Amino acid sequence: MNTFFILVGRDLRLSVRHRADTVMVAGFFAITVILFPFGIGPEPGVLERVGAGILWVTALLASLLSLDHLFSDDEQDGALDLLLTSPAAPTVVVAAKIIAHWLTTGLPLTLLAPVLGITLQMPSSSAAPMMTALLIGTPTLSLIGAVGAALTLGARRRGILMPLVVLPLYIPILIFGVGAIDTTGMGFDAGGLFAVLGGFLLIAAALCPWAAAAALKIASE
Amino acid sequence: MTSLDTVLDMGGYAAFVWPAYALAIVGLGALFILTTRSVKTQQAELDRLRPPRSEPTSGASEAADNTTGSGA
Amino acid sequence: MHLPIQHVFLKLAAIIQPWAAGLCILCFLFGLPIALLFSPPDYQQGDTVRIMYIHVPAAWMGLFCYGVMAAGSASYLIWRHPVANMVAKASAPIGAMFTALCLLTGMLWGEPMWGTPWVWDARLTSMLVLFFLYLGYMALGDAFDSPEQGDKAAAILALVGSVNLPIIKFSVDWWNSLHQPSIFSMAGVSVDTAMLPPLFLMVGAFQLYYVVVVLMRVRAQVLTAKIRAARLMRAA
Repeated sequence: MNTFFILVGRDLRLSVRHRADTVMVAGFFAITVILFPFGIGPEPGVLERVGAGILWVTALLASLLSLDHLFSDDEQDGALDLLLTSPAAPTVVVAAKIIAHWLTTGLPLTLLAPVLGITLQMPSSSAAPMMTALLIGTPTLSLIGAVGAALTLGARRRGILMPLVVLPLYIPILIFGVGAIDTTGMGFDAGGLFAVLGGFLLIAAALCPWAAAAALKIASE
Repeated sequence: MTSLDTVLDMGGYAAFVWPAYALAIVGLGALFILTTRSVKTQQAELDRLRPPRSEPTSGASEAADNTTGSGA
Repeated sequence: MHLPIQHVFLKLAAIIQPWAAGLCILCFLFGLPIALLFSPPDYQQGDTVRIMYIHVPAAWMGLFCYGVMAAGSASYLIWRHPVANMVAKASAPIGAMFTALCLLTGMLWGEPMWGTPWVWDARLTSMLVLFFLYLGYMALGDAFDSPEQGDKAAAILALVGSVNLPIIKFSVDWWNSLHQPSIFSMAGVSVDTAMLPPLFLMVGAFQLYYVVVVLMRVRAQVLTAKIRAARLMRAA
């Protein structure tokens, strides 16, 4: 368990040193959300209706974008091989990297979302369900994305391969993430939907580190 | 209206029923042809690389077969 | 060590293939005329119901091929069984073709029934996602310089996808029920007993077609591996 925290700390320190990455992911999230009013038109009713969908789709893309570096930086400088041959279990290494990834991308996106929600003219009452949904949903994105990042490590045309591999697997989170925000917005109790998002998170947390570790083992062979 | 016309007309839905069957034939046919063609070209390539010998268990082809598919 | 298994498989394939091909042609010979001419039109949908004899078997084959892919990938990863991986890899393009056929015939069926070719019907949407899962699997398998790495990565993706597929289905069903449920669902045809013979004949024909093509594709993969080995021998 100690190794786990050391690894999380290492990745966090690395991302503080390269904070441009986190800033760029947040910047990508913001600029992409802001594109939609230009594309759809600024009518308040329309933006409010599609706001949750825009935020979630953009969060998926931002998460996907940041996954490119999840393992490849460590692979290029050889650190990944060292980590995988270290006494720490590969699943622990992978889990630590996923947590660090979420802390540096999913969490900033969650904090940024309500601000962007205001630009989409979403009511202030939607901020709480929006942040809750993203808080439960974005770790699942990091978990599933880590499997995709590990599987495509060393592949040709990785930039287009990753979306093709990962995005279909993101669909359930998108559906329930948007559903939870919209249902709450309509004045209904969405507790069940948040529970479903939590269920996805548990399933992903149980299976994804294992699958990603297996994929990394293949990539490093 | 002859019976052939009624068959072709499909109760007014000819524009939907016939293309569906045509797509099925095209899809299944195309994949079948692509597959047979790839088997043929691969076989030809293999014969070019390794002329068939009188005794199939000769040393060279045996060794080649052993690495087949094991991926090692 | 794998040589005998592959040879046994190819020998078995050579025996099975002509029989499967013959039966497949027979199924089509009986199935197509019954589906197109001799089965009754639906009392509500008229002759458009004949699209069902392509659409439903194609949907079934799309799922069946993914099942074979997942099972083959699992036995490849667990028991390192090369033939299992070859069957999995061979099934992917066939499954993708059937899934595409299911989507296209669904659009042709939807146009007269819904008045528009595409409705985000729960089943069609799930099949669309399945189609992308096939594309991802095939793209990932081809994306590596080392074929073995591609095989293994794709096999893991097939397993991840097979865990995800029921979750996607559940999500899409819920999402669809949230928004206006379509009045006509493609599975909602009240199946007359007279529709069963052509339906089963077409399912049989597609299934036998799969057997014929999958065996040929496995043969092609064995040949590719032999070519690679022969090239290595020459280079050495």
